[in-house]
Amino acid sequence: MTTSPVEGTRSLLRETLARADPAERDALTALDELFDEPARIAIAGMVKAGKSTLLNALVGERVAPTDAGECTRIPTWYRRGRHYEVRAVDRVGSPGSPLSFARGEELVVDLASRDPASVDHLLVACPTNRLSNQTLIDLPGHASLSPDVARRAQDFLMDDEGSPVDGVVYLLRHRHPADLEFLEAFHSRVAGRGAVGALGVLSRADEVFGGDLSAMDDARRVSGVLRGDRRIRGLCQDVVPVAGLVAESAATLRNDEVEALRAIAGADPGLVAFGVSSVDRFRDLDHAETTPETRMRLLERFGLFGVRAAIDVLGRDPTRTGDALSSDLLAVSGIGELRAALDRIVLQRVHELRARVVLRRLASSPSLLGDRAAAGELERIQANAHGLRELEVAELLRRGSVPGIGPDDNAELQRLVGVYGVAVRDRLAAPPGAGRDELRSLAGAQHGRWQRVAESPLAAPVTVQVASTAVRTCEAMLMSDLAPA
Amino acid sequence: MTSEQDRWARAIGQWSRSAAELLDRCRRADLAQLGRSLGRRVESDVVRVLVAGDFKQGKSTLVNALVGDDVCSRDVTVPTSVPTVCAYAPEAANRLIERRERSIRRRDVTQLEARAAQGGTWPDALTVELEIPSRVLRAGLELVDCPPASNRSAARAATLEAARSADVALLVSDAAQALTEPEVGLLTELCDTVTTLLVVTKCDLVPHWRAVVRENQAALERLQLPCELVSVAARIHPAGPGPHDPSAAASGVDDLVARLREGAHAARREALLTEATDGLVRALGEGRSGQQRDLEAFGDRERLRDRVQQAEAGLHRCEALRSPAATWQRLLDARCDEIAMELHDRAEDRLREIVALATSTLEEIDPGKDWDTFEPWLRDVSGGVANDVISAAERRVALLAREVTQAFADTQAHALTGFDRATPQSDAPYVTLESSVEGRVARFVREGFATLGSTSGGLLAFATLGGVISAAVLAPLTVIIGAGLGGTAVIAERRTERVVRQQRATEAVERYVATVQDDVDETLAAGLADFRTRARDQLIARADDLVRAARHDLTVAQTALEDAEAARERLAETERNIAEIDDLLERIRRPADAAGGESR
Repeated sequence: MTTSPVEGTRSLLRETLARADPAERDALTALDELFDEPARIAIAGMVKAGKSTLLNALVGERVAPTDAGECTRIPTWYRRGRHYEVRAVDRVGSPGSPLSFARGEELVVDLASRDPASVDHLLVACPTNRLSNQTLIDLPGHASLSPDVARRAQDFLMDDEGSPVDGVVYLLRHRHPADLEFLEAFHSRVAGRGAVGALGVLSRADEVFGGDLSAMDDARRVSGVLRGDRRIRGLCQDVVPVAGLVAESAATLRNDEVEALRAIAGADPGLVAFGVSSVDRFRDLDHAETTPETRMRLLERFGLFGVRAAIDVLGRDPTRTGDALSSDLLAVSGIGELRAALDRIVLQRVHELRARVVLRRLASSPSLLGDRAAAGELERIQANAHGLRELEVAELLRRGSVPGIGPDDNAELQRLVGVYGVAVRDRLAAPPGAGRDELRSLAGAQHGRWQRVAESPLAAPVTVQVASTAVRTCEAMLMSDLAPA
Repeated sequence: MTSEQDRWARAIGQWSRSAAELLDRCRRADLAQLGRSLGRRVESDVVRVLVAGDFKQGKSTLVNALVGDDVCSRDVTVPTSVPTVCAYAPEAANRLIERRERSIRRRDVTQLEARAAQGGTWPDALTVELEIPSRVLRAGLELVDCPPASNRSAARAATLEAARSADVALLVSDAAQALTEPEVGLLTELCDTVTTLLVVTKCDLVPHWRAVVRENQAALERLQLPCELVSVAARIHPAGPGPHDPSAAASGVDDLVARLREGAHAARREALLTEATDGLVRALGEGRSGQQRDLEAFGDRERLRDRVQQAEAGLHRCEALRSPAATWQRLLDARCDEIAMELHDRAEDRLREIVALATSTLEEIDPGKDWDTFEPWLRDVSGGVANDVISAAERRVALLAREVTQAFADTQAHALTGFDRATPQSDAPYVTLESSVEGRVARFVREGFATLGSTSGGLLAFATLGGVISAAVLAPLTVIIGAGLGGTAVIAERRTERVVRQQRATEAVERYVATVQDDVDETLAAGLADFRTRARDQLIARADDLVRAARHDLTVAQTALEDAEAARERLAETERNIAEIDDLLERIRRPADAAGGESR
């Protein structure tokens, strides 16, 4: 058994580093550190699209400054740390200088006398396992689309060698043309410059769809439509709805809140039904056990949709514990689907993405090219790493200029080479519950189809490259995961 | 309403009916429709309310609540994309207003079709009209639900256009956040056009809605917009989906209805009458100048006849493009043969040179000893010839593709020159004719080279030739030459070994070169044949399109001529129409001035 391409790349990098000129050592050391770093996921969207709320929901606590001060105009990185810490960093890679902050219910950061323009980003360290495999990057929101905004976002995402960002989450509103324009402007700049995974999130899904208990079902239907939309499909690998406020509050649910909700849920059903029909009626609810202030506070924390959902759960099972209620609400909020999609689209591939950046860099490293054995090893890794070739092909496909491959085929090929997830089912777009035989026949069909394209004498070289990679992917599936029992 | 205004309104009703009748006679159904609707608006007591706003702000929910029925689609996956007019009628009905070639058509549809049209399924749909036996509408409201007007879309222009014919506009913005920049822009423009109310929706859903309302109030004051703010929670109105008070006051919808009824009346009335009068004058003016142009055009039947002849000739020329006798096809056939010959000769010459060179080299070396260097040399030079011929073939075929497309283009341009655009025409079909021809020429210019590019996709066949030749042709070399040398051992006993080997090697080289020649010829022939078929198929497909288009042009030209012939017979009628229009205009202007004078 040979070592995996990722491990191979790693040890090649280490060997090169050991021999490197002093001039090159810093850059290579940075690469070595990048290898161990969690995946970097940027969150982009319009102002008030709910970026901070979503970020809090992903981290599982209220860490994002929601205040509209200077802080929200500076990109903020959230990463795992041993203790809470906030630093102002003036360029990527430097440790930055610590800032004072206060941690109450929210994080309040004091920029002190720092000029916001001189700060590249804020670095917030939190001691949470949620950030063990990902660093979240909150990009400044944009008020409206302008070429400048798209350019700044692009500058940010593309400034390092290769791409400093492994995945992007776009907050979308329902079919808003400005979102699409922004995505397109953005995509046309980053496409082909790194296989960045992109995910659309219908944020504030509960609010946009009217706050009924069925709001998330509506939001899921709309996500399905958006996912199938030809323009969106080329820009995002998936679209999921998230009720950010519900997810955030469920993750930080407090006991007094659970008890207040339980008390309301236990009141007269007719009264409760009327009470949850609007925010004013909920505030003015004829309910002695809770005060109007408490009820307003619940609304602010959960939104009307979250309150309805919680009361619905507690009404059916009055003994539900706080933990159980928290997971019920998390399930309703759709945050789990967002995490799963991020895992599928970004996290599972992150080591390969990193290896690819490193290999590209090593291919031009004088320290490595001076050594025949190492150069040979580099070539061997490049030739054998099918996963890396898939990334290469994914990039070609996302650039969209493979002759003879139409938009539908393009999407299918991207799926096959793992852009939408590297699991066999994701690659084959298998219907849920498909058996092994069905998967085998799907893979077989894809194999035959792309084999014909790869062998066509009329196919352009790049088309042949793409099709043969797809063929190889199918073979790998048929020989390993789907091998006959 | 003053009695003066009343008289004026009645007069407008009268004029609009005459104008509509006249304009119908002038065959301007669109203007007639406009005239009628102006009259109806003035005579009726109906307040027309425009509902505008950005995506997902709750416009349709508000309209449903106002109307008291689920008339606007609440299917979340389909945003409204066609304006929907909701008006009162005792019986429910759904109508679709569509754009037809020369006119606007209005037809009854099912509710399902109306819904689909609202969602933008009908590309020709202009407006959906719903007649609803609703209490609120009966009391004198008519609602227009506009498609979302976001920052820079055409929908925004459409919304402002629609605002011109409305009595009140509602800008709908939800309580989730204060007015955004694009919303402020739209609101400002609406306020310049018509009495406008800012409606803050979803107040049932957003805990901090009062703060947003305050922020919006402040923004209105800061911008000094003459615009009032109303907050509603349409979902808890009796017609909404949520549970509600018996009184329904909490939703704010009834308050909104009351404001709409009173706010739209007094001040708006005078302006409406003036606008309606102006609108009638404009419509009549347009109708008159159309008739005037017709008068001029009818006299010019000769030109129309020419046009038909030109269209006929154009059709024939387009059809000729498809025949094998067409210039481009003859060119294609001849040039392909020519290229094949030329390349054959070129390969032959070069290979002959190689044979000569090889022979003279073989005179100097002993192939038994120097074979290791000689064989690669031979492979190399013959491979060079193959590549040379192939790249020459590519160049020639690319050139040919351009030539053939040009020949096609020339014929096509010639086919289309029939339709000159020199003289302006009076009526729609001519415009259609010209723009369609112009469109096609422009399209050709744009697509011409794209076609060429894909035609020379046939060249891809040549790209693979290199591989074919190196694999299939050069491989037998060793066998041939090896065989030649193998025989030398026996013969060498009788003659000088070296000379025999040299002779055998020379023969083997000749045989090898002949094979190279054959294979190059064969692959070239296959490549050229492939190119020829592709080029022909593609261009004939284009020619088919042109023939179809030319046939259509011919029909249009013939119709135009028939129209003109018929119109000539109506010459007197057209003159009468103009006189009557002038007469009506005179009448309209006089009392309008009089009314204006009195108010001064």
